Amino acid sequence: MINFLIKLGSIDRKIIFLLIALSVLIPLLYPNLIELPIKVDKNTEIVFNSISELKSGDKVLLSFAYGASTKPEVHPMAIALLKHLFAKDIKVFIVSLWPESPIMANQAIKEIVDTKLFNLTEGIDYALFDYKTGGFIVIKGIAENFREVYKQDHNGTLIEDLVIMNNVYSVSDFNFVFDFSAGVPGNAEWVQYACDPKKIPLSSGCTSIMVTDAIPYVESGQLRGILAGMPGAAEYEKMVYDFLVEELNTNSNLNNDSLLTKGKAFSRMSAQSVAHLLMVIFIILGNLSYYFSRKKN
Amino acid sequence: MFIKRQLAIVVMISMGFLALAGQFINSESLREFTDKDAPQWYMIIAGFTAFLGCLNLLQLHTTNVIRKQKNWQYSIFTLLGFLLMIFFGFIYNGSPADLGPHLKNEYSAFYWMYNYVYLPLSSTMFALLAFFVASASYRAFRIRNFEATLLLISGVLLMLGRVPIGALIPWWTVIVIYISILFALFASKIKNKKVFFFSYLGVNIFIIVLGFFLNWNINSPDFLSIPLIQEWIMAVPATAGSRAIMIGIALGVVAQSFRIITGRERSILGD
Amino acid sequence: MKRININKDFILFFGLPVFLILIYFINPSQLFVTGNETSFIAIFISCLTFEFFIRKAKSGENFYMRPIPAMQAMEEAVGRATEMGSSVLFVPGISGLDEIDTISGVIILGHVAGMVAEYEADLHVPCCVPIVMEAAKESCKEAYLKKGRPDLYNDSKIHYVTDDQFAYAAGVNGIMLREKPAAVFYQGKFYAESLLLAETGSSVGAIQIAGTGSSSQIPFFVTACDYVLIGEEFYAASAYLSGSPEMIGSIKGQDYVKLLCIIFIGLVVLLSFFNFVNITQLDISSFFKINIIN
Repeated sequence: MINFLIKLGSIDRKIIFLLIALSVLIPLLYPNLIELPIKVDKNTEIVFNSISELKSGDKVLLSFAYGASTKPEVHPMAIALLKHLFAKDIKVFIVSLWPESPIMANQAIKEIVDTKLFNLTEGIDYALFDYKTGGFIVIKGIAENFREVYKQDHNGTLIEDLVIMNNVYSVSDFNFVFDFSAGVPGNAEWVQYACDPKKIPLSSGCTSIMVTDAIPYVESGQLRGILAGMPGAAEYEKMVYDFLVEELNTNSNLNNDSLLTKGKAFSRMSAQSVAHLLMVIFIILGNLSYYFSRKKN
Repeated sequence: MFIKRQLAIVVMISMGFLALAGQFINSESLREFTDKDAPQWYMIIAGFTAFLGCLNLLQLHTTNVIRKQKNWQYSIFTLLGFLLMIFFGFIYNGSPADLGPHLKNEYSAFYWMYNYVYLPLSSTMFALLAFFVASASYRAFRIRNFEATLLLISGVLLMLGRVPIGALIPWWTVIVIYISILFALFASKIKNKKVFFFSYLGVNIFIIVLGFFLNWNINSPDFLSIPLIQEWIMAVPATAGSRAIMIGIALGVVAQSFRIITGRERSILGD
Repeated sequence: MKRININKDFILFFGLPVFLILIYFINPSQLFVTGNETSFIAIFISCLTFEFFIRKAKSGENFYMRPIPAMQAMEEAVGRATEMGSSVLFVPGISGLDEIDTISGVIILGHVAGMVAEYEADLHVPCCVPIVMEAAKESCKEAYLKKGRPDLYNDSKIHYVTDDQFAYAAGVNGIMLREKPAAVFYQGKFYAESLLLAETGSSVGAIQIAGTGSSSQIPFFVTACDYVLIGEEFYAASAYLSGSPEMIGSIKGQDYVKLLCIIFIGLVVLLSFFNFVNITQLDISSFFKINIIN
């Protein structure tokens, strides 16, 4: 037994990779195999409550700053947030800070439209603006003068002709800013160059890796909570789903003959749980092997 | 020589001071320069160097193929991929939109390549991280010394706390974890194996029975909930460490920038 | 040994700062941006501190620099590559020259290229950004020239791979798996691809030395690499490697500025406590606001 444990310490990486692959693949293929209740994190709750405090007609600026590689983590947050915002009849303005982000934004809006949950009109309920190069310079520009940065929306409609852009001139004219980021520019730039100087509430949804960088801003209140990676997305999806279920028959912004779905991150949490548990088991076995091999030597 | 050395240093110093002055001097034209013109100049230069990069790529891989150098077969794939995307980006449209905006149009060949080739490849590379994290943790998270033990414990608690399974871990398991950590730290002090084993077992049983007595099975305290421990780790030690490293890095950036702006750091120019 | 001129330095380190700060606060004809006084004073004090210690170092004073294992390991790594007849792979990060991390990385590349030239090893530098490729070429060319080995410089070994983050990681991984370098340096700005690169390097048995200013990637490098330059060690590396008194003086100055920061943090904690127990009612955070948008 002890020799077996010692041998485990130098196990081939490919076996670890195979077991991790199976631990992720099986729950993804059979999502009903393991159904785990999701406990909502304090930061996710802060995000949900901040959005819930907004009123009908309020304006929210969404910044899409992620691409294809981080789509599985961040895109479900975007979908859930858009559902939440449209259910509350909040006007949505989408800007893109990465070259791939307009595609992500388009796909997000298309997914929302395809659910037939809402009756949305572009230019009235939401506006999409194309990618602008410059990173934090764009954020600074939006903070000072939105119309100088964006002259037209992604369809080529002039900004003056957009009904939704009435009385919107800078970041101060928004009631909330939400940033979906997977790198730079991201939530730190929004804090530094726009929302903190102009005192506009800001929140963010980002990849799990970025959370440690963003957490000082969360703790200081400069970010109102944070959606941390796929677990954050799953928690937020759950909260939005429960909200929509409650509101389905009473909310005039919702089409009550549409089907409500929980979202992709929610269904992927069982896979992530099993994978994490497996990693912990590997770590314990690795330590046992290390202990016995040291003892033997 | 003058252009490569002295002129380059003069340009470097003056641009550095201009950018710094733009933050403090109340001048519209200076701010226009630092906020709009200078970044645009950089982007234009970077855009032209993109041509340089593409030419370099083409030259390197074409030479590999022509001279049939080692692993020249991979260069064929590189060249094919490069030329194909150029073709779909600049020549062939495939969508009702004009050439240019067709890049975003979902019926264009370019968009198809993006959605069905680039997107899955990119996601796959990111997904590889899961495997590498597993093998790295298996190799690195060993109880070698105090710091490594701390890394191990916080890593395990965070891994379990962030996923739904962490909430399912019962309070008495967390007690066993705490007591195991405590005994692992004092293991070297207790020479007698029997004493060690029985004291470990005894302490576990005692604390768990005490827990039942205190109704922890109905209402467990925060320090026995892994998700709440995870939240505390993120909110307190992780934030503190993150802030400290941020401040250190910021100071390092200031010092490095000072050396560059004052022309002392010239190795970037090859001096 | 040159002694510090008391009169000239008194004017420079006391008279001039006081004068400039006064002018900033008086702000004649609204010459300066309002709301940035704290930032101005902070930068001014930092720069003065750096300058003071640089001059002290130039005047002959020796400053103790604690040994940084990663710096000492660089030459060993290059030596190992030479012994094994393998190449040295240098990854300068995935950002452009607008990031200070990349600049630091290219500076370290210059030093590593010098070592490689001395040891007659092979150097391979795959770049993510074309402008970095050009800077890297210049840096390496000069380094080889300085060591008197321009014949060993191979231009095709410093090349562009791709701009895309994960495609670059895939490309570099491929290079590592095919060439099996004995030493790999990761010096620059990295994001999520850091662990992909480091694990692949570990799998080919290379000695890995990393350095980055991306705080979120440091744990991954610490886990997978043999040596890591953490935080400001990375920015100090170029000064450390050059060994010149000017550079070392600036690191000393950096340490003193950090000490000032610690004192300020302590003061703010104390003031916050006084606010909490109602001894004072000072809004401390208002002192630290910067007016970025005018």
